[in-house]
Amino acid sequence: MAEQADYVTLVSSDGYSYVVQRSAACISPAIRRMLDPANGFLESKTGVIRFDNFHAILLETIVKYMYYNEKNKDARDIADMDFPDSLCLELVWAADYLDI
Amino acid sequence: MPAPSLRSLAIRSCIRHLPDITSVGEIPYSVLRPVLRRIENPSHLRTIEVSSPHVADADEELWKAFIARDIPGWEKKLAELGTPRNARSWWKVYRRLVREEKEAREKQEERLREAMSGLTKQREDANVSFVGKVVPMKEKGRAFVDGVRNPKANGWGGVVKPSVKRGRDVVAALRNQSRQAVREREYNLGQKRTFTTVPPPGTKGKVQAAPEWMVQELKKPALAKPVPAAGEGVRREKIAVPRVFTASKGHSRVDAALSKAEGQSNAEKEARLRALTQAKSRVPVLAAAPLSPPIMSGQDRKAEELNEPEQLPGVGRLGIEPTGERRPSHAPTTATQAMRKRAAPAASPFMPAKRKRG
Repeated sequence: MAEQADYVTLVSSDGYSYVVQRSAACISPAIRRMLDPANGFLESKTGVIRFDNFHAILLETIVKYMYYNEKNKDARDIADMDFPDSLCLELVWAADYLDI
Repeated sequence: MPAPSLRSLAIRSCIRHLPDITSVGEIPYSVLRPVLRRIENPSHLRTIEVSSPHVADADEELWKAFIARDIPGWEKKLAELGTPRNARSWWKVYRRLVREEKEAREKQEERLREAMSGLTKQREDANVSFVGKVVPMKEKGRAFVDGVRNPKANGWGGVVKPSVKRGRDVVAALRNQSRQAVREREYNLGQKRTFTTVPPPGTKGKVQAAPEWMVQELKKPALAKPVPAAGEGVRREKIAVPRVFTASKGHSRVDAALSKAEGQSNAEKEARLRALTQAKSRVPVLAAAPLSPPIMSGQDRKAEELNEPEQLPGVGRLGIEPTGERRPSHAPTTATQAMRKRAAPAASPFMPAKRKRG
């Protein structure tokens, strides 16, 4: 089995790439499935996932959240993460899509 | 507790900014449901529906919630209307029900207004208002014009003097006038007429100040049982027992005389009382029954007994002696000497003569 790289790349619809830790990205079950070699997705081989429905700022916020979540896994009563208000609707939709 | 889900964070943020949301793009209703449920204004929901029609397909529950909130008796009305043919037109159902409700309410208000105006009209009619002139009345001419009696001014159609030419006629006319004036004056006083002023609105039924008679009562030094003076045996006409205190003041000569007599008797009583209270220190026991009520007629006695609350507590109503009997006091003090002695009971064949003890 090929050694799983530590980092994966998430690419937004407008071409921006975000390199994130695999563990952080796999908070999302959807991404985890995509990166699972057993499912036979191309992404699992390349380690690059392209999101055509997320634009850069949205993807950036998602990545931010991934780290926020991982960092505070064992913490209690932490402050909510901040993000631009204009994203709130899209974020609902993205969160539902990624199931995070 | 680990970090909140991105979804919950986003939904909370959406709810915070709900007023600014006018469109939801392509986001499915199921995803946005927690946010849309928080909409308070039906027209807001309609705006979102217009911009994102797929929302209208699924938001039946939202419109039903609005109907339940805004329309009383909605269950029955909804049952009557049934579900709309087009699932997207639930907003029309809401609009229709609201319109009907508004019409019904307006009709009710109109009916109520009519009823109220009828009532207010009745009340207005019953109200007494001052008017300047309603019916042209004959102008009552001045009785005197420039010091001379005005023959045209009709008093009661009474005295109509012929035009005075001679001196003695003038005198006679003047004498007649004065007689008229006296008669008029007496006419008013003979009647017990009381005129009450119209109270200002809102004060009717409210007590503004203590009635005068009450104030007078409190000012008067409380007397013991009053001895009926000369005038009191005579009952004033129509004043039955218990006394009714009205605002009217009787000014008739009879009333004047009676009040004068009463005043005199009050003065007497006060003097007596003063003497008693000063002499009280020498009297060991209240055996010297002060102001023992002398023999009275049966009716008067009832009246006097009703006056009892006026007495001083100290000078009680013969607190020492039993009610029925009245023994003549044997302690001759200066106080009692001022009192009238009770007349000795007349000898009667049925009663043995009283024997003095000792």
